Amino acid sequence: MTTLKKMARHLPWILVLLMPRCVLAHGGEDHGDEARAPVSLSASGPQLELKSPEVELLGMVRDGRLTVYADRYATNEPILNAKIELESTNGNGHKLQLRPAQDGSYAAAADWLQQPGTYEVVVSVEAAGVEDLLIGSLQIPGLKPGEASGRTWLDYGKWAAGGMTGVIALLALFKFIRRRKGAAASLALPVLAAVLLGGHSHPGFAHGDEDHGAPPTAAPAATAVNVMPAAAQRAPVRLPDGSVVMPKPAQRLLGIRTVLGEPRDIARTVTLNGQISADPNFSGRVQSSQAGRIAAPAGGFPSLGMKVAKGQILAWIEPAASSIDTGNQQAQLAELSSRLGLAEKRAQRLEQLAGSLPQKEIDAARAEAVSLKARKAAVAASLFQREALRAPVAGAVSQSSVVAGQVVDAREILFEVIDPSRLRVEAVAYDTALSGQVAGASGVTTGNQPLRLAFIGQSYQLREQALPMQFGIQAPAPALSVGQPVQVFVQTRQTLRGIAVPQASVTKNSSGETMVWVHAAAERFVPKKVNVQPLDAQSVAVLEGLHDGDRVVTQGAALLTQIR
Amino acid sequence: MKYLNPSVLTLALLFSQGALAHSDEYLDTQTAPHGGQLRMVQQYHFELVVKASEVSVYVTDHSGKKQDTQGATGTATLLSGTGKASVKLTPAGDNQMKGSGQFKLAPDMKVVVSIALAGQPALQARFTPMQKASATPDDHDMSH
Repeated sequence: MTTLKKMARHLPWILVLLMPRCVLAHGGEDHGDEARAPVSLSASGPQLELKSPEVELLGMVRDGRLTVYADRYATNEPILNAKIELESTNGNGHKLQLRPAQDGSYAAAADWLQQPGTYEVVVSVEAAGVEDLLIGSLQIPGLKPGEASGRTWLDYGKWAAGGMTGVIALLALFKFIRRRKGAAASLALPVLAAVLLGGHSHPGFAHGDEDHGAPPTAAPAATAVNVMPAAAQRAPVRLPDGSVVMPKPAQRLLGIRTVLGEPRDIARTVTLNGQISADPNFSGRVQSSQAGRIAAPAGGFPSLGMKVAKGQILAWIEPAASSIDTGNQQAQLAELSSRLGLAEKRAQRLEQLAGSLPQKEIDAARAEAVSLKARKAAVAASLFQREALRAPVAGAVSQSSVVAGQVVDAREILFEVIDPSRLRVEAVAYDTALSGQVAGASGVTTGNQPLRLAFIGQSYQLREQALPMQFGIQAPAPALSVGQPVQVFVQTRQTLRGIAVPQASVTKNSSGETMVWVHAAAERFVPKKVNVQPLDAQSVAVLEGLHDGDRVVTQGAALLTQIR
Repeated sequence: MKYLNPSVLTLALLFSQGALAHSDEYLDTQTAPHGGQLRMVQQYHFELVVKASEVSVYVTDHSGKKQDTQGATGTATLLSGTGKASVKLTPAGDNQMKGSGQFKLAPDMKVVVSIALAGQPALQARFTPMQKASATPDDHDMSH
């Protein structure tokens, strides 16, 4: 009786002490997985995760079959057609030749993979351009498949909460009964409690095969996955800490690619707004020098976009004159005609008297006749001749606003000709400190077409509080139009230290903060808030938030953000 | 969290920091006592020296203090263009582990080493003995 009594007294306390430990072992603490853990395990089966600066290897053992995914470490590009050999160095020196499977993974089956234990493995990977040797250990826990499956993490939490409430209730009841009824009855209760709790203690201990090295938060994904029959059906999942676990097959499907972040000196870049303008050496306007009536040239008026050669006639203009002007001109013409007739006759007569008259007089009469003839011709021409409007440069007609018979004023712009391959960008800088600081430039159109720009010059006079700057567009240039808005990235002579990543890497999180995805482990992606500045049309510089050697997701970053 | 032993936590923190402090690039900028390549393996530094058909590994702690290799076992696996070779490492006095085998030196050769000090689990390291990362000390200062 006394021993039983003692037991009874201690039992509740033992139970109380036991319960919270089991539950709190997975409180979401970080067990230092950032330190490179060569092996990470999850409930879905023992995992082999090895990495070197060249290769990242992820292996899973399921029912004695090892499946390995090999990717390039820096880019996450799958290594295909490789010769992968696994050798267990401790113990009995097993060797495994992994054969490529259709989905780009490698697999091999062996009996020893079913025996629990820790195996130190050396893996050699040989493929085109890759030759590597990796070492690590493969842990095969002694757990029968399916033992821990079927219970999600949530269940464990419920069990734990329920258990603790039960214990507290029992304790209260126990004290109450002991005070009232004495020892005999008080003994029965703890025994009952023990039986009750013992029957359900399994969930509390069920964390036998999770990995303490892997983020504990990975457990829900892994446990849920365990129910699935095949590895291919594992779905990407967002963890409570914001990171994403994406199985390798899904990564391959979405084409997730990364780039290794290397800090370097990057020119401080300023973004300016600009627009395409015409190069004055390769564009021109056609204006009439006098008022008149438009007439079409042979072949008609040029249409928009028509290629014209330099000097090509685009239109005729017939000078418009009032009737008084015309009358005066005609009167003058008539007078000149009669004077010309007289002068010619006089010159003929004097020529017949050559020798008896001084040669001087004959010459004067002849010169007068010639002069009158020229004057008549000039007046006649002004009455009836048309003016040709010619293309000042070779190019394409970009503006044409005339119709036949239209009467135009002098100086009116009738045509504009532009060479579309010779354009410029004009941008305005509101920061006058940029003056003389331009080291290089690039641009992007509203249609996201990149432009290679070369700085031509800047004005030293503010125009509407801003400094105009001119840039030449270097070949190859996309099809552009004058007036099209362009964003210009001006690299200044100041430098900053940062990591250059492609524009596509940068995404926004739900609260609108700028972030990038970092490939932290083979199947884990972590969002990192970053401070960026545009570098050029395609890349940005990350100034804060990334470390040297972080693998930044370039392709598929937006897809990762969408995983809930 | 309060059920966790604070000393365990402190230890874990210490280790995780140690792991971050010595990157391979940084170690390559350090002059190793025997002219080999240094790698950090948990609380130790392994230095690999590869000569024609001979492999030596020197074990020190982070401050360069020699660790006795008496009773230790280990293997080294070497991969070069021509093939893979495995070399058994045996204690060779002081803090040295030594072994010899048939292999050729190549500029892009890779070596993985596994050493279990007496009464301790095996520790593994990967080396590229002929290629030291060309990082400058300045880079290291910037990144840390």
